[in-house]
Amino acid sequence: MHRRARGAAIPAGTTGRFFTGFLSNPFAADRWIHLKAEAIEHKQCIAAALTIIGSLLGAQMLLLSLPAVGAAANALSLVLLVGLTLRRDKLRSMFVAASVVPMAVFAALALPQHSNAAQAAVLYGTLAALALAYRRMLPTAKSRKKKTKPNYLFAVPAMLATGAVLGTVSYAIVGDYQSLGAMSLPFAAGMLAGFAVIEEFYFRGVLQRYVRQDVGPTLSVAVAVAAFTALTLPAGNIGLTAVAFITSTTLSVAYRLQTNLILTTVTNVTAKLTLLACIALVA
Amino acid sequence: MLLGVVFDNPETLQKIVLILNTILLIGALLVYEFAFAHASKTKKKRFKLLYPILFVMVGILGYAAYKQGGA
Repeated sequence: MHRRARGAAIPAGTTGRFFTGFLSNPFAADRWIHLKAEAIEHKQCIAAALTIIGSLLGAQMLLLSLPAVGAAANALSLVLLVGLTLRRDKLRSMFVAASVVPMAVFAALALPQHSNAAQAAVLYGTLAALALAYRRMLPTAKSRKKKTKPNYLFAVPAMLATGAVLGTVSYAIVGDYQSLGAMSLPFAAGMLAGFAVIEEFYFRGVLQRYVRQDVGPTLSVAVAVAAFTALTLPAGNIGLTAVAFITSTTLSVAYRLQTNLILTTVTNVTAKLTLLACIALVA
Repeated sequence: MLLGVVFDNPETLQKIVLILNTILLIGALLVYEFAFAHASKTKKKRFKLLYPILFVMVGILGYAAYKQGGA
């Protein structure tokens, strides 16, 4: 039988970590159990995040191809997320925060609207109302890390530049399909700026925040990006979905690095207004 | 979301969603009655998290009823 020589290197990876624990800790069995419990909890967190991503994307995709089935899938997604909120104590904040998306889609589908602006207003109004309610109701864990104030003198111009680039890229991808229609320019600008603020408040300030609190920062980026991209799927425009994916990935990563809602809001508002300016200038 | 269409919602789809909304509300009432009505205060607190969602659902139902009355 092969034996590890005394003083030889411990193999890298999880097995190695368990092995080190056994060698150095007199309460090796306790440590083993603790590490195993940690691994199981990590797997449960990944499963929970994947459940949210799968249910949101699946329901919105079905809404595009089979609207009636998609509406039922949205209802099922809502029931699933609400059920998990009631069942899972540790992860309830993230599940209830995610259930806002199918509820907002449900509200926008249920009410008759005479224009795109009215439809978007119902969707975003519901998102804003529920986000405000949950931001107030859900508990926030206090971070042990000392909060450092970002250097706004550098950060704001950097975010403005990022927003302008995002807006230009968005125009390059979907500029041909977008038009002001009957809307006046100031109304469209105000509407898009308002939507950008609501998007940041819900997708970063509520969803990403509580998912990060419950399962960790990397999974929180994935969930926020998937939820935002899912909302654009029923429009059936691959360009719009690509723009939503690029924008939300940039903003979610920025929020993960800085944890500052003001900076991401500035970026999103700049991106939307740059796109609008491009549309108005070319038209 | 930009200036384009969010999603199509023809009248048939609206009716389906309103029916689903009513079914979900009845389901929520049944869940409360069977699982939370006689439970401890701590358990009841969990259900309170759903109040904003239920409020929106009741709002949708109220609006639908108003439209039906007006038609």
